[in-house]
Amino acid sequence: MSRPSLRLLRSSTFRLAFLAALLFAVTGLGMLGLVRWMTTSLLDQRVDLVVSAELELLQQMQAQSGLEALAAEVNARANSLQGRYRAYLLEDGNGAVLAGNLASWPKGRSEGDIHLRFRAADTSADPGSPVRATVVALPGGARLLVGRLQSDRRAFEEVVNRVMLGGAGLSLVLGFGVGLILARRALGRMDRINRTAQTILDGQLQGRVPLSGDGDEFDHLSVNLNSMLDRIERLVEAMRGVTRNIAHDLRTPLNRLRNRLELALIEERDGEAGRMVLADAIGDVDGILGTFNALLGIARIEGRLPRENFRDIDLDNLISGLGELYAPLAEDQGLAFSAHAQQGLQIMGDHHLLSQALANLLDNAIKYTPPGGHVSLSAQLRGGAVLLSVSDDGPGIPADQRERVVEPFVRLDEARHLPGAGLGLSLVAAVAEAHGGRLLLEDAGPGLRAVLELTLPNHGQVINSL
Amino acid sequence: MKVLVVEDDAPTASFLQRGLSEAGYGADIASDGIVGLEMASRGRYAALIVDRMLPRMDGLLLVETLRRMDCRAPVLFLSALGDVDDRIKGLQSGADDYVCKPFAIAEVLARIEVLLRRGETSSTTMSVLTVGPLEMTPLSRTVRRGGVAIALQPREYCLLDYLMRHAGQVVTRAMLLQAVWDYHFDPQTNVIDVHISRLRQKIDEGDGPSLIQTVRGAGYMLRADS
Repeated sequence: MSRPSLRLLRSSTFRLAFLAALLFAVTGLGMLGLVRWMTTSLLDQRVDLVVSAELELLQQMQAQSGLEALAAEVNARANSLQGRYRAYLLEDGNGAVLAGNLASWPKGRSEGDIHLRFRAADTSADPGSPVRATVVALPGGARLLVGRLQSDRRAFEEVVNRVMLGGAGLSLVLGFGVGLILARRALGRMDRINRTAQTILDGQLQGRVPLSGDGDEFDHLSVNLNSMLDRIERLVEAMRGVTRNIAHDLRTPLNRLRNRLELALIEERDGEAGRMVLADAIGDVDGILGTFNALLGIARIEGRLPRENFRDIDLDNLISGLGELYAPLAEDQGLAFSAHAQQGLQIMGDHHLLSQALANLLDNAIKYTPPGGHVSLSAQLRGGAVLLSVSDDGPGIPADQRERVVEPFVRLDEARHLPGAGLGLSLVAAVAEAHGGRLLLEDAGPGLRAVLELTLPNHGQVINSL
Repeated sequence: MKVLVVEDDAPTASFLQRGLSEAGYGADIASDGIVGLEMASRGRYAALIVDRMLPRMDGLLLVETLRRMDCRAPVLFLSALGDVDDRIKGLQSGADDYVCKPFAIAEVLARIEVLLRRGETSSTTMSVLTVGPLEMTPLSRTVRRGGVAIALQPREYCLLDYLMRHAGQVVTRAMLLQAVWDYHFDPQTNVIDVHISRLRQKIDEGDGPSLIQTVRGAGYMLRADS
């Protein structure tokens, strides 16, 4: 891992916070700059007004009394008390200074046609202060300059500059600081998620991301991650269980097969007896292959894409087809059998999978219900869900066992002597899940009702003509 | 009649070869897709048994190529992929039937037999089907035994229709479940047997042996002579 400070600087939270501060600083600078520009123009305009009035007066004087009288007046004004806050200069046509408080024509920046800006002389009241002057040409080639020191303008500019510099600096420092704090916070939350991921990578599947309780986006992420982890843990646990059970449950039939073959070898049976042993051996192998096929089938269903191969299914059709297939078998076993679908029910689903699931449930019901009992197959709509159910009045499943029997390879003690591997209900549950539903095992009082509950909203539409 | 077995697993291939010769067919083996294609296009085989997953050339592609080369011999796919979708894909490529691995040799033989005899019996337009005393008129969906009409449920009729069209051939339970009910799963119980015994009750007469014989370890066969 890189150094913590570097990680903070690299985090996106920090970058965003700093960028926001930068933007704030630039906006602030821009606004202050605008205010500064508008204020100084206003000050300049005020000076220009006063100066132009004075110039008008002086020009009139020259027109009435001549250039020399003007020079005397200019000198008088330049040397007066206020003269230290003003700038005067009168030049004749040859450029010789006639009057004023400036030693020579000032070097400065001309603003517009007649305005001039320069620095105040050392003899003035505020040396170095900006001066704004207006120049007029007099008859005979002479020039007259009248200006005002703008100490207030300078002071204002200095204040604004200081505010701009300080403000920008402050917001950058604050942005940096706040960015660091936010980034540290976000990284802290991320670190908790990362630590959880690390514990899971280390093999501790129980690890979960702690929640802060703020209900913020990190909590949302954490909740989603946690439910994802729950599901993964369940799947992994189920897989471990299945692997254990495969190893355990297949040993028994393989052992039986081995014994049979060994016996055949010892006894050197021949003719019909030998063939019988071989036929039995094939039966054993078929049982084992059947188990593998069922496992493979469940794995395929669980590994399918959501809604893969889904089509409109007419439940009336589905139920009557299966009913027709199973009715003779049930009757042969001395069972009363009925198949009924609520009229006009349609769902989106996989016809083959649903048929197989219901066939498994019917196989079970017919296998476990003693003669004289009832088995019924039905499809109905109840509270926004389609229920495909197979009910019997056989021995049922004890309430505390119902959850367990759905797991692969789990068989009740009473059923151990009957053929089967304990995978039928697992397949039904997998089919239910592939349809966004679930398998419910209920007490039919007496007997068992196995229900495929397929909830409709995320599942498809129901067309109910009734 | 010769059958070409395209299968890369040598024990499975020779097992099929032996099974086929026991049933009276000659059999050649091709151990990969390319060899299979060459042999199939050169030799005159009555039928092909093709593994889905083959080295050098996939089984699906092999069958598609053969069909494009106008080879009409019936093809039976063997595959470890047992999904309904895989089945459909296999049939779409031009194969005629599909058996999942692991398979029973009886299943393969029964299906090959059906494919080989298809030319003789498959004319759905046949006006009257006759097997021994049984007479079926597809147009009116009626069945008579020795001139006496037998009332059959629609599904019983379909079952008998399939058996009569494949008279003298072994048909397995899986074949019946697929052809008559369009289900592609293995039921744990003997549902098919019950339907067969009901059908027997309707079409057989007296205590003599049934027209529908049980073939041990394989399935059923409808025969005229017994």
